[in-house]
This record gives sequence, structure tokens and C-alpha cells, in this order.
Amino acid sequence: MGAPSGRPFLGLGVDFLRGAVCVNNPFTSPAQLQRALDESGYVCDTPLATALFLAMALERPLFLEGEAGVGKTELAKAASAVLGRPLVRLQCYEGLDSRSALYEWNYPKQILHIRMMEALRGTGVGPEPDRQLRVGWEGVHPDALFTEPYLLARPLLSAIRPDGPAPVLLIDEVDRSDEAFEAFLLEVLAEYQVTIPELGTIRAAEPPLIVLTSNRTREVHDALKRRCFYHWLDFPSFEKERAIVERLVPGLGRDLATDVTAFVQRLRQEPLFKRPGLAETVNWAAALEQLGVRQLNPAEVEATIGCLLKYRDDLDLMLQPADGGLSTLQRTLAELGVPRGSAG
Amino acid sequence: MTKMREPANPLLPHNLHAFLRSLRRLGLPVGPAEQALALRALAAVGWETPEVTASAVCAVVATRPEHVPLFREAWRQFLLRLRRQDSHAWVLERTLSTSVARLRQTRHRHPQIFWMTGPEGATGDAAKEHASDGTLRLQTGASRSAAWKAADFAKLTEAERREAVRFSERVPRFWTGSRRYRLCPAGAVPDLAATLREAARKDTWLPLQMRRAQRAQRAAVWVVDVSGSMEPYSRMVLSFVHSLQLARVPLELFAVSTQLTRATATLRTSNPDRALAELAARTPDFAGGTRFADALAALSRDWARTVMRGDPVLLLVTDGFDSGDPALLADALARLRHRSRRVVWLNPAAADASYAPTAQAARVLAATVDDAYPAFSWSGLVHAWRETSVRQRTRPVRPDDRR
Repeated sequence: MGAPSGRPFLGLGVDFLRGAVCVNNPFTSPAQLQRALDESGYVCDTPLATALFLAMALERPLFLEGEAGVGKTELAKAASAVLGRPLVRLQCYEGLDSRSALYEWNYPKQILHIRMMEALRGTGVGPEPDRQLRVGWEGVHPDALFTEPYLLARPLLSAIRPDGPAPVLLIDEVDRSDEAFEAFLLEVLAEYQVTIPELGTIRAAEPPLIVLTSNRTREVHDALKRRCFYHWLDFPSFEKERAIVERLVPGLGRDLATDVTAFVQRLRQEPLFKRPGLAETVNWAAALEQLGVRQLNPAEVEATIGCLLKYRDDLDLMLQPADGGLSTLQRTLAELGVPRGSAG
Repeated sequence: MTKMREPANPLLPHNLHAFLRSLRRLGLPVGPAEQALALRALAAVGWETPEVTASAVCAVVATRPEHVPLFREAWRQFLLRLRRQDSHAWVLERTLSTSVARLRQTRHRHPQIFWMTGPEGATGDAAKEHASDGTLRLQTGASRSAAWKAADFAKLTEAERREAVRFSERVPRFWTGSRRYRLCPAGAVPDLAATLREAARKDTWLPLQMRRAQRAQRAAVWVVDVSGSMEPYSRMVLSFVHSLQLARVPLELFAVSTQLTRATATLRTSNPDRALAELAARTPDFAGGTRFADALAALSRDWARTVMRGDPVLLLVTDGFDSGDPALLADALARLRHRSRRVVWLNPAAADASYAPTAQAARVLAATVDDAYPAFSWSGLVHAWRETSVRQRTRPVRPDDRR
């Protein structure tokens, strides 16, 4: 841990550095973090590594936004791997409330306890009658029922009060939740604390690394974004995508990985309802590897196009013959010179 | 461990503050908290690698994807200006903003930010006021989406057209009563059958069940003139209709060129570009001639019994330039009116406040329809739809309906 220097930073008379020192950040620079992510199997560019580095160094959540399947969730998993910390995941959905996200009282256990105490009263079981009565009374007292043993921790509480080291908390697809839940998250994101009315405020001893993701199906409120570092994850460049395919599907071969990547990149230029993401590319490459495909050809592509396109409209657009009897898919492959050696 | 990295130039923090403040003019939400956080971020990553430095500040100040290219361009300008420190500070700050505004202008021809300088040929006090201390006034217009929604379809840029085609509007439905009921504890009417069923099922003494009427959606029948004179408007109207279809509003669509084409099926694809392309391909003489009177007669004769059941709202989108027989048009309109809850004319030609229907068909339309609205812009269409959703609750009083 670096000691605060005490010198005013940038001559502004304010010690801005104090918050920049963080026990949770084992990396000295974004480049070092980028290398570590690369070694763990996540290919990451400099802006993304910088944003993640800042999230760790300044203990502030990272808000990742981008199309589905560009690697937002994978980044949280990779961060968990390089930091050697557990991953706690909260999948958001419409109607998600604090009971599912934060905590819940264990009602069956509470009722069982009350019943047990009622049954034991007056049976002579226990060291002495008055003590038994006292234990029984304490046991059924309402305050005693709302204590730690009856608390069921959900993902947010597990992340704030972990059993081991502070985890990486992934709040996935926050745009699917409703606005009330967004407002509820503000306290967690800003203060790393949660409030349970019966128990009080619980503050994280060691702040978790929080990663929020959004597919931008709706605009998330600025109040939430303001508490985070923001990064927009776009579709990857050709080189980056090919590197990822080669890394994750090593049996594919360089030529086929190049063709697969070129085809997907070309496909994204079509007016599709849902453009294929990086995850679809990797799935398709894995499918081709499983089928033992050594060279891309129209028949194989048509048979496996379901890995890339998930809407009937998009399938119709690509597969139905257009002018000249060729489908868009066949035309695209011909433009790319696939199978290799054919006219490009 | 994070080390502090001091910048080489001691003036840099001040310039950085000026830069961050200028980002506000570009619409980025940069307040004092963001300024402080940007400095902390720079303390953490240092100044050694330009891309890392830019990414660090970007991660703090950007909150939307569209902010990222704006920030990148502003940052590039900032670095360029830092190398040339001979100019006056306020000139630099403003040059920065205008450069980025130019970038935006290349994508959308209506910039949100522009500088107000002194009026041309100003003399005396007015000129002195503008030249006094170099203070420039900033006037911010409406947001981009608000601007294109209010603009005439014919004046939209290509980028705005594409945005409009992808846009979906949250619109009210044409609600109407239904004969169906559903059980509802808060309902006002007791449902005796359900009460007895419940009593038999649970073997209890008549647990009173309440019910209330369901609501149903009234359909909208769109008749859109896709002739050449309607070319700038018809595509946008069809986009609007497609967005209604995506919102599951029950509707029928007919395209009118030299003949009537039922085009409802072409809207079923979720991709608006493909829907419009397919519609254009299926419609003979798309953007060509028009026979509106004949088309309405065909609608009344061939389709009305099928598609105009349940008292729908009939929406006619045309500029009223039709050379057909006015008597035929009047007759067709009268027949269709009997089958419609309301007949609404959406007229793109009524962009001008002084518009008066002079063409023969326009005069017939103006005399026959229940409501008429100008429909040359997206917001005009939305307004017409909203108004109609309210008015369709009541049946209009028509003199010739008294039978």
C-alpha cells in the first residue's frame, strides 16, 4: 500500500491522492493489468484496461455498456480471476427487489423456533424450569427473531459482508431492472454500505470491486452513472476479434479463424435486427471446430448460421435468394473469397 | 500501490480545469465532483501514455456512448492547443468547442451549439457591447431528437431519416369498451355465476365474486398516399405506422398509388428498413402516380367488409392532389364514413399556417372528414394520434347520419 505523500497534488492545494491509494489494487499501471488480463485469457484494449484499473485504484464501480455479447460479463469474470477473488453475481430482471438482491428473513426458521419454544415450555426439558422459561421467552421475543442467525444474505449483502476477501460483485444487465431498484443501488455504489432496518447499517470493511453491465435497452439514470466510471464496449476490431477467436478456440487454425472473423465483421454491416456479438463469433467458431470444418464453405455456413443469427427476419434476409438467384449470404461469402481460392 | 505522477508543466492542472469546464458546453455532465475525480484518476494513471491519460478522463466524464467520440475530438483539440500557448486563453477555449461542434455538424447538419456574434453592420453601442471583453454568448437549441421530430420531413438530413426510421414512440391506444368481463376484486358488478362456482369448489357460503368490463383496442385503418408528390412524407409516415405495429397496435395499412395495395403483411417484419423496402417493392408505381378516389372506392368495395369491422378509425394520409373524379371520391368517403368511428385526414401539405385546400380532392376531403391535422413532421403525427385517441371515445355528429 502506498503511503499518502501529503504533498498537494498538481499544485491545487488539495490532497487528491489520498483516495487513490487502495489496498485492493495489486497493479501499478493499466498496462500491467492489461497484461494480467491477457494472460488470464481476456483480450482487452487500453481504454478498457484503464477504466478497470481506475475502478480498482479509486474504489469506484465500473459501468460497462455495450451491445449484447461483446464481453462485458466476461470482464468481471476475468477481473475476479486476476485478482484471485470470488465472483458474486446479481442478475437483474424486471421486478427485482431488495428481498432478492440484498437480504431476506428466514421465515420458516423463525416459525420453527417459535413452535419449538412453545413445545418446550412446561415439559421439564432444560436445566431448570425458570431458566427454560427465560430461554423460551427470549427465543420468541420479536426482537430476538430478527437477528443474524435468521438473516439470509443475498448477493449484495454477501458482497458487502463476505466470509473471505472482498469479492468482485457483478450486477449484470442493470437496464433490465426497474428504476426503483436503480435508486436502491445508489447507496451500495456510493458508500459501499447497506441498511437493514432491524439491524442498522452494514458497511463493507473492504470494498468489493463492483462491475455493472447494461445492454442499453433503456437509458440508465445519470445518478447511477455518476457514481461509476463509464466505458462503452463496442464491437471489436478485426484483429482483436481474430485474436480472441484464436485464443478461445485454438483448434480452429489461423486461416479458418481469419475467414470466420472476416465473415462476422462483414455480417455486422448488413441491416440486421440483432448483429452478432463476440460471444456469437466464439460460439460459431467452436461449433465449426466440433463439426471438423477445415475450410469455410456456403453449405457449412448455412447449416451453422443459427449460431450467429437469432431472429427469423435476419435469417430470411441472409438466406433467401435475391436478384441473380444468390442469397445475401452466398454473395457475402463470394465477396470474401470463401471458400478460399474462389473469386473474391 | 499507486504512485503519484506530477505533470511536467505546472500550468497543466489549470488548463485541464478549463478543458473540463468547456466540456459542459458540449453536453457532457461535468460538475465539480467530476473535475475532482478526473484529477484523482490522472494521479492514479499518470501522464506518460497519452491513450491511458485520455481514457482515464473519458471514463470519468462520459456517461453515454455518444459522449465518447465528442470527448476524443475535444481531447485531441486540447492537446493540440496545449502545444501552442501563444493565443489568449478564452480564444483557445472557444476554438476547442467550435472545432468539436464542427465535428458534430458533419454528422448532423443542425448543430446544437453555435456562437452568437455581433449583428452584421452593428454600429455604436451595439457593436461596442459585442466587442467589449470578448464575452461570447452561447445559445443552446432543442435536443437533436426534439429538433428532427419537429422538422418538416422534407428537410430532414439522411442521418435524421435513419434515426426516425429506427425510432419507436410510446403512444396511447384507441381504447374502447368490451362485452367481455373479467373477475376483479375491486370490480363494481357482482358475478353471480363465478360466485356459485367458487362456492361449489370451496364448499363455503357464497364468497361474493366481483367483475368488471374488459377493455379492447379499436383498430386503426391507415390509407397512405405513396405517390411522387408525397415522396418525402410517405416513407416517414410508413415508419410511424411500422412503429405502431411493433407496439402491437391493431391496424391495417393500405398503400395508394395507381391502385390500392393492402400492405399490412409487410409490416410484420421487425426490421423497419426491410419492411419499407418490401412495401416499396410490392406497391406498383411506388412514388409514381396516384388515383386516390379510385383507391378509396376499391377500399370501400373490396375490403371494407373485411378490415373495417368493429368501428375502426380511418386515417387518410394524402396531400389532396388527385386528378380523379371528385364525385367518386365523395361517394367513397361517405360509404367509408358509415363504417368508421372517425375519419381523420393527415395532411402533409398543411405545413404552412395559411394553408387552404384548393385542389378538388382536398376540398372534398376537408368537407367530409371528421378531423384534419397537419402531418408534415413526426411530432405532428404523434399529436394527431394522441388527439384521435381521445376523440375516438365519442362518435362525431354528422348531419347526413340522421337516418
